[in-house]
Amino acid sequence: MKLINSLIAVGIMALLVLSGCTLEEPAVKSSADVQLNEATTQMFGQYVALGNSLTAGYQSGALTEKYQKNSFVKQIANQAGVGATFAQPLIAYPGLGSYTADGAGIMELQGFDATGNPVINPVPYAATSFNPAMPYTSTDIMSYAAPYNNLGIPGIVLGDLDSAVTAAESYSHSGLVDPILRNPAFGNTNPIQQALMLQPTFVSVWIGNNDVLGYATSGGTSPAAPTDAAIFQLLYTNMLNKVTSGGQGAKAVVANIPDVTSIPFFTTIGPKIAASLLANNIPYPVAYEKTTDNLATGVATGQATTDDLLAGNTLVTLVASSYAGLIGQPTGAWYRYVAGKAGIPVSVLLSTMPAVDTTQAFGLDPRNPLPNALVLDPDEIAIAQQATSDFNTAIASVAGQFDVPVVDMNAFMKDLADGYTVAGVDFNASYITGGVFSLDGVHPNNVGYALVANQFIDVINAKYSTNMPRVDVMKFMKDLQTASMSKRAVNKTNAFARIPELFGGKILR
Amino acid sequence: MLKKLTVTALTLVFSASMVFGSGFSIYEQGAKATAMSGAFAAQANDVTAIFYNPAGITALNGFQVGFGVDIIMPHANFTGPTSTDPNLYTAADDQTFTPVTFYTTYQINDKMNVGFGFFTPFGLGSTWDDNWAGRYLATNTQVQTFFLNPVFAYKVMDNFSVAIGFNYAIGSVTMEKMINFPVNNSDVHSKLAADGNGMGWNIGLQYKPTEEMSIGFAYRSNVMLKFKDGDATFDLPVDETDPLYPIMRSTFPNTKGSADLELPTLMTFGVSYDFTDQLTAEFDYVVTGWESYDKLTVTFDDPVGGSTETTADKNYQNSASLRLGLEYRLNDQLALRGGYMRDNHAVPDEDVEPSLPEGDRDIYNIGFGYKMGAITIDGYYMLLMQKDRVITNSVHDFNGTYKSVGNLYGLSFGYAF
Repeated sequence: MKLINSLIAVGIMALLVLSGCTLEEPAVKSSADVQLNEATTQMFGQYVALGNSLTAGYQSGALTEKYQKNSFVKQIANQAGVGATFAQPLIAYPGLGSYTADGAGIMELQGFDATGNPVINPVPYAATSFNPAMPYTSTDIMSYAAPYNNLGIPGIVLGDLDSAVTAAESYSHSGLVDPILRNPAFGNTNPIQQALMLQPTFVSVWIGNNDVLGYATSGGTSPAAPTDAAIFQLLYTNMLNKVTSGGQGAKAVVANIPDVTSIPFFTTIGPKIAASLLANNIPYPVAYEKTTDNLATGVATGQATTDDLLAGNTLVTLVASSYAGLIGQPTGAWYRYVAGKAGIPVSVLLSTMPAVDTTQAFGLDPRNPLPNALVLDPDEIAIAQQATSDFNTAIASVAGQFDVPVVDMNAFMKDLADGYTVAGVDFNASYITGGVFSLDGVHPNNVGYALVANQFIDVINAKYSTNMPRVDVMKFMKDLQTASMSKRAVNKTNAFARIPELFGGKILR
Repeated sequence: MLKKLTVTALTLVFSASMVFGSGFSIYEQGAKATAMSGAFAAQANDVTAIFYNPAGITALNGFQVGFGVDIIMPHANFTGPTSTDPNLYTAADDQTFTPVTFYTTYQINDKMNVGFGFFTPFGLGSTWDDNWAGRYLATNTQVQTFFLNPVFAYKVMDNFSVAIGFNYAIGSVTMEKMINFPVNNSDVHSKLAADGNGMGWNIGLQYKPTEEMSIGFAYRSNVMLKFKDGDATFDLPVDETDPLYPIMRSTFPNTKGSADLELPTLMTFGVSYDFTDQLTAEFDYVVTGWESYDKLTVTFDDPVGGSTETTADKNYQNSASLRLGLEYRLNDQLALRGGYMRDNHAVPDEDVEPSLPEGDRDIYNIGFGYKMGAITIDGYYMLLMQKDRVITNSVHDFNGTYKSVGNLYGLSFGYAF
């Protein structure tokens, strides 16, 4: 009896052991591709993108095919099923951009120096077969019969959309107006006119960034003020009126302007200087030249404590990365750079500013301050932020008037600065390591542009009942994992100096 | 400069494991107790009492030993993340774990017993494919702990016993995941493998107000496991001839990593009642003090991604389980057992991630005990059914549905000299 009981018990156990419960596999293991609805296929019958470098797909100081193919507007076109016919002015490697006048293209990371700072330099044309006079990837691109669908032109300001015809005939004087608008072949037409020539069914416009970025990235020096807010509103109204009434009565989407002061171009160097001062127990504040200072008659009056630099009350631009390491040393490196660029002896330059004494501690002594062009001080930050806020108010009001939805890129930039997570991947607005900004510290990288595309896609879908799928960021990142490094970049004394010139309208060809 | 990379992309987190108690605790430390869903702190009448309630060993005569082995076979899968594809299905690799236990007790005199236990109260692991959608959160996570636990028990009165014990804990942890190197979007495989140790204490009380009734209380302290000089290794996607290699290697040097991990308290309250000579029922309430695990900081000897320290928020919460067990003794030799338990989650919804896909669980047990003279054999089967856990507010934007079931089998052998 005992034995039988035991056997029964053991038998039951054995059965259970063999039959342990398991999880059912679902029949559907991934979603089928989205079938685009009629609203999407109709609205994207002819898609045209207007804007600046952000629309063009500019990255790391240049416009080149390697990155243009990931421009956010191309990614939108891809998601809307019209990527194959979305024409872009593809520029060969290493591209046109901030360093074209120096005979170089895209910036590349060459490594980190002994102190952990990134070594970044542009790729010289001499190392490639690139010809800035015939920069396209092919003659098909060069002689494409219609205006390009992507009419984003790096460097342009709002006023250029309805007026720029050539680099010379534009507010921004951006050297990239010419290869993109290809006048006079296109009848000396401006970006809006070319867009309307395409009889667009849908137009995206992200413009106005440079109306404040030029001021901010030049440390408030070039131009000396952002675009006037009232003029901005007038120009924006005119622009949207033309865009939505021309062609086939195009539907449109616009985006507002992110707060420029949270981009890595401004947030990287200041905290680094502060950390270095603290680490070396240097008790002095940083001395910098304010816009109101005149070094011909008196020493610099700007002062920023380490707390100011850490908190971002005073911002130091990425251009200062070449000079941050010299702080505390007797150096005239900045003036040698400025004089060299102007083609004059440094003694001549310094003779115009007798208050400067380059034998004093650079950046600490008011007689040898951090130059104005490298610093966005609290007053300038306030001006830039006020301009951004005014522009965004204008954009919201004008867009409302034309029933055009606004992508809130300002809010998105704030989210990024706070840390932004997608499917387990953390991004933030830090330079290089944040994962969304390219090497110039101003423009997004491939992933950054994918995130931007998704912001647009959400707004477009919500407004127009389209059903474009979002860009799958994880898959996109996976697809990007073939990129390799080039050793063709060469050392330059100040790799970042040209960056603000993009926004100051000084891209040269 | 590269600080953010560490803080964000490189949270080398000691998260840990697919679990069988809330968080990553394992309450299955004896076949007799587990057959009754771990409702055993009041009965505590075999050598495994050293784990469940050491006061119980005052009832054990002479010199006794027990050896146990568990076979733990979890299955888990994840559907998502919704921001990628709400229907994307990924199954975790099936793994089998076989923790063992060893106990011995010795009766010094009528009042005093000493005992020693070896068991693994925290651990297990999860493995996902290196290419899966959650690779930046976790690919392979393994945690093991071994506790060495001498106890001393004292019979204050015939119906009231107390016990106190010391715990020396040894831990080993392996965490692997991918880190995205944003410069060229390539994946770096990161691995942190570390061993550590720590100490703690435990107490137990057992009171029998009537012949039929027993009340048990047991408490285990926190144990701070100190992991020192673990190996942090980074496998780069490029070889030494690639121009990118020096950049990536200087960003991700192979170095040493250290961390402190505070294991939770464990508090048990149980009541058992002999309804007949043959039937005993017990109800236990167990609280695991997971709030000790609110964040995890790893420090590196050399800066990884420019930083020598990285902190990950864990935000675990205390969790409680309700356990109900029954034993029916057919005769002097054979007993049949069963139990049900409800175990509640320790990880808040927003913090759940795939290294530890835990959740609320309904757990069913059956088992037997067979006595042949001095030899005792106990066995159990346990079915763990985790409620589907639908996450919509993940701080990692890793929303989706976690599903899990587990089959556990165990045998214990006891010998009374």
